[in-house]
Amino acid sequence: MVSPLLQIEDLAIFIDVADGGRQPILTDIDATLYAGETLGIVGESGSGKSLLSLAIMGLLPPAAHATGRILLEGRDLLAMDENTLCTVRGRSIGMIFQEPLTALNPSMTVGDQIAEGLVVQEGLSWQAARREAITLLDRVRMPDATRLSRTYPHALSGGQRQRVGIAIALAMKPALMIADEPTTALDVTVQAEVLDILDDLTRDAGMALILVSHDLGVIARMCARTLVLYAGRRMEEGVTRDVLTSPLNPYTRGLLRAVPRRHASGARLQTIPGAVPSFAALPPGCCFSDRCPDVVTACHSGEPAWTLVRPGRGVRCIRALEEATS
Amino acid sequence: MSAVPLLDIRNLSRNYASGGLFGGRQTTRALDDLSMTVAPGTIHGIVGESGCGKSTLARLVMALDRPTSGSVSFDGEDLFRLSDRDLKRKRRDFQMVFQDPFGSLDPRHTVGRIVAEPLHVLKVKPGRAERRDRVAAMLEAVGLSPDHAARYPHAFSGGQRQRIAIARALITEPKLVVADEAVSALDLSVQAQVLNLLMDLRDRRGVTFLFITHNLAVVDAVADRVGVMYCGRLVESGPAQAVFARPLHPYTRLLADAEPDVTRFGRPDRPPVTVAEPIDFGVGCSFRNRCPLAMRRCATERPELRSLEGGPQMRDRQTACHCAEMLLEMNTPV
Repeated sequence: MVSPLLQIEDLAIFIDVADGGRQPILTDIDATLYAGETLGIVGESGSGKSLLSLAIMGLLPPAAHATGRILLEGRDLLAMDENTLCTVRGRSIGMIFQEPLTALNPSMTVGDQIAEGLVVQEGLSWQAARREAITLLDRVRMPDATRLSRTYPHALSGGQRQRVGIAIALAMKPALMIADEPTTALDVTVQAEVLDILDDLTRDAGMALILVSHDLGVIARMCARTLVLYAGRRMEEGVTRDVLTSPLNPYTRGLLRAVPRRHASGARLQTIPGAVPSFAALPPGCCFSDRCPDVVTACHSGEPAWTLVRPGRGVRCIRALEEATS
Repeated sequence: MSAVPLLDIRNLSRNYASGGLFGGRQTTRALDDLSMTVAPGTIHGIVGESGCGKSTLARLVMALDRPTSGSVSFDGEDLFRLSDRDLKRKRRDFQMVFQDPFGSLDPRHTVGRIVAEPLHVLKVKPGRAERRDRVAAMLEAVGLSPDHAARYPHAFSGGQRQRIAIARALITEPKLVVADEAVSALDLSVQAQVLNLLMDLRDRRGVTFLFITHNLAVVDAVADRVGVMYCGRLVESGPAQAVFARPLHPYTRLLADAEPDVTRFGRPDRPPVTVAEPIDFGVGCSFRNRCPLAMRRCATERPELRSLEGGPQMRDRQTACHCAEMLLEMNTPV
């Protein structure tokens, strides 16, 4: 049997708060990812999705503490010291950030930024690394790669910068790529192109991809499986098509209904009442109970457990389980 | 369409000069001979990618900048011929909502003070009690509580802040509100709430919106009419529903195809997208280097906005494409 590339077991993340206590942010996270698989993580702001991707990268801020295990190729990232983690990061995991301008160094040519990792991690000469950088820029379909590799980030457009970001993450041929809202800042046509590039890389290079996004259309386009997060909890997981066409959790249903689309003339969009609660002010019982249209008294009495309705299809909602068994 | 437009934009151009210290000065034409009208009581969407000139258009309509040539006539008066004093008076009738609900509200002011601020431009400034009443009424109109006036912006979520920004824009009872990417920064579940609010304000108070965004789905959901911009020009305009159902310009088609959709799974059945940078050629059609239909004529002759033959379906629709008839045949639903 093939062992999974990434296995997250019972991960929880707490943040130190001013009064000396610890605020739980992510709770009860489990996920498994095999080589070449694509997992979409969907969530609104405050769902903990970015913290989750930082935890996998070992880039949690000092105030955050993680419990549980994050196994990459069988080795627990949470138990590693910083030096070991440094080689894993980059070599095995690449990350693409949302804002390509702030993620790049403004005072270094883009070619050198791509080459840097190759020099430090692989011991290439700068000359060889710069040649490799041009090949990588070609691979992310950068026009005129040789010339542009000698320019600085400010001279590039948003789409070109994001291609540089992908080239940097790709330089080490990572087994796992984490992309946190990689196309949110880009125009739709540029977004389509960047998504095509990422798609090619997972197909041709067998790279696994975790794509974090609030855009359900991007998730549908890119990811075989989808995990829906709300207030730091898994609400629903499954094959993307199942999750988006027959959602089990009322939150997923609400999100899908709120996607803007043309309705009959003058008709209103469907909404989820209220706003995402802060972690310090979650309602008792189910974290979505204060906004849920299907809420019943039992929802307030305790947090629903994560339940697999069938292999690979999980949900956290007592109402969904009633429906599944009736 | 109503006979008298609220906003009548004629041949509007705006050039920006750049460079000059080293190397030659360059002129960038952010808006190029753009003409359009907006009927009262409608939501008029403007879509286009970054750099197409849509924010320049917003700044000119708000009279925050002056055009290189052309005119903006609002409610029958040319904004750029008004004296400073008259323009200030006129400002009560057009207000703006910005993209970032975190940057556009002063964190040191209470919500009440923020919302009341535009009342300064009124000729007869309301007294304290009246100001308080108007703020309270406005907060209720956008779905907030009058008690919120005493709090500070940090106490509110993104969606609530955008409601505060909308309340501020509406307090002078303007006829026109320019919304530049007003819902782009909001989460999906609150974005729909704010979009519904805009439609309510249009229907109940007759407010006109110039709604600028890069998100086609949002425009499709709320706008009555839409204009599509490319390289500072309007390339297509018409009723929003018709424009997105059957685009008459290859650029509109490209945008619609590129937009991800929750009902399309996996890689779309189309050749990989390659994005050429928009170039302002000066002559001919600016879109021709990206256009699948481009022909020789497109390089020499600039397509102007025109109507197509085709009966009621083509009513109120315009396109700036030499090949629109060809596109229409390709689009014809079976």
